[in-house]
Amino acid sequence: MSHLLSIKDLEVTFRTAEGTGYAVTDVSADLKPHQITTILGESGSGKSVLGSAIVQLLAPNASAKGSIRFQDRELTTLSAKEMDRIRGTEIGWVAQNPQSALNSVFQIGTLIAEGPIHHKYITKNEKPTFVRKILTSLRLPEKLDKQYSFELSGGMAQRVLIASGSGMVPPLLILDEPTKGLDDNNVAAVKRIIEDLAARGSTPLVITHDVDLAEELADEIWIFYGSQLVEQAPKEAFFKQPLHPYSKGLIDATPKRGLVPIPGESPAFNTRPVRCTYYPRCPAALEICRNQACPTVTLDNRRVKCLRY
Amino acid sequence: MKKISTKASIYFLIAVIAIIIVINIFAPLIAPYDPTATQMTLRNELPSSVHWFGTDGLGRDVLSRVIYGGRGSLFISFFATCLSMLIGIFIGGLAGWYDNWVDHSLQVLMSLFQSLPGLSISIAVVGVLGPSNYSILIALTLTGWSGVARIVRSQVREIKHKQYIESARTYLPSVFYLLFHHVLSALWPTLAVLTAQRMGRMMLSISALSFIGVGLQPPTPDWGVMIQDAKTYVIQQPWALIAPAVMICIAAFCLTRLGERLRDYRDAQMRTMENM
Repeated sequence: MSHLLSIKDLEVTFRTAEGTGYAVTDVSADLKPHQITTILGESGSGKSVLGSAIVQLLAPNASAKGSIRFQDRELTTLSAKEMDRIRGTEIGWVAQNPQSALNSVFQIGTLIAEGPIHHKYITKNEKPTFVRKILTSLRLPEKLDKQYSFELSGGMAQRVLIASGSGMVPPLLILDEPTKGLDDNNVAAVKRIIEDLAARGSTPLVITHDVDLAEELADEIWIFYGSQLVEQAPKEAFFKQPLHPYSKGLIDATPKRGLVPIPGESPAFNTRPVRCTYYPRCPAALEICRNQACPTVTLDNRRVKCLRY
Repeated sequence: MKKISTKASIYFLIAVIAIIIVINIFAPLIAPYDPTATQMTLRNELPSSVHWFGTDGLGRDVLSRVIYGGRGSLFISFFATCLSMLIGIFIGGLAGWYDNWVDHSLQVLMSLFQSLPGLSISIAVVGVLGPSNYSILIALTLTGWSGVARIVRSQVREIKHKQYIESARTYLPSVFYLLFHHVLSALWPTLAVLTAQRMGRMMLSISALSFIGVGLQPPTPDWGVMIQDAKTYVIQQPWALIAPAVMICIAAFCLTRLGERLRDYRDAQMRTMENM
């Protein structure tokens, strides 16, 4: 088995007062181990929901259909107890907004060690050594363990949050917007940490909307648009020749490549999309795109969801 | 007139409550007379330099009885508050955390207990179990926990959606630990407010029960019992009634007021934190 995670025909919907919202539709993907995969997409494209679906922590009004296989186990059918055991030990999660994702009434050392202690990964006596080791490996001062999250800068808080989520070196580590709101130095530090974790055996799955970060960090890139996974490709190939028209638009919209905006607005998700969700904005749309369902095509080592291929 | 700051009044109220508690704990050292010793020749004496608040219908020293009089109600109200807080936190916490049948059934339970008329149920419980400290404790806990549970439930429902809880959920295997450690840690200010208010109310309930004769029993020197005893001779010796009544008022007022002031203080702190 060469895939760490296999997602098949995943669909996540939300029941709301206005009706059903489709956050993730028709997503199939395979995650290769020991490399960094980045999910790129704009806000509301469904990339974070995909992450929550993988750790089985969707909001109570959400429901998921399809299959998520992780190391030969079907996560969608596991009991809550089994999922509790997997979360943190085998699938790690690093939430966004570190300042509000760290409990401000507990010391940093407690936040870093409580997960490993409760999973019996370390004993209570090993806590000081463990915390010191983690802090050093994240290039943070050791005395931080007695401090509280509100005493930290944004960059430090982000690193502490990564520490609390990755302490047990989970084989799969999902990071939700790990560089949001950080300055260049801290982005570089976080990047180094993610690379370290990959080298230590984790497979980071980085959710971001930062194209530059993806270009520097990723081995594999997944593009999310309008609840669908429109393209999956190795980084070099992707940036040399993006296949999906949205990928092209996304790359051209970055500052260093001309800052060309994509016309139109993100789609609303109150109906199940039948055709390509990018169709209304697509500069390369064909006549058949209007009313034909859009399959995912495999080309060499990449996949693209577009009728042009 | 200068407005007294919230913090200053909190300190003041705590000081008054502390003084009352200390007086009651060290009552044997402070009280000038034995609170149960009767002197049939000195019945219903008006206040004098020998008996500051006079004597009651059985010639017992009112001051000494007042000094002893808070022991029972303070003690029982403290334990009844603790017990109903514990039950309320546990049940309210579970109900707030879960969105499924657990919440529904616990809510039914809470509504059931909250719809019971407190005093009547207390009387019934004490009536069945017989008047003793334990039955008062049970009666007050039985009628007190549901209000706590309701407040805890609504708070937990709010806190569980905070990002730090959802983040901790991704690496903690035990929902119990998450709920009663992480969620509860955010609840301490509310719990402090609740404890003070509840204890004030419990004191009043105990006095009421003692007054109608199903609470603490004579000859125990208790403020509620004293009022009951003194009401027969209220025209001849009003001080035997006024003194314990004033003490009940001060104790209950300080406790409930402390709760309110703590709430004001908490709300102000929350506002500054949100504006940060």
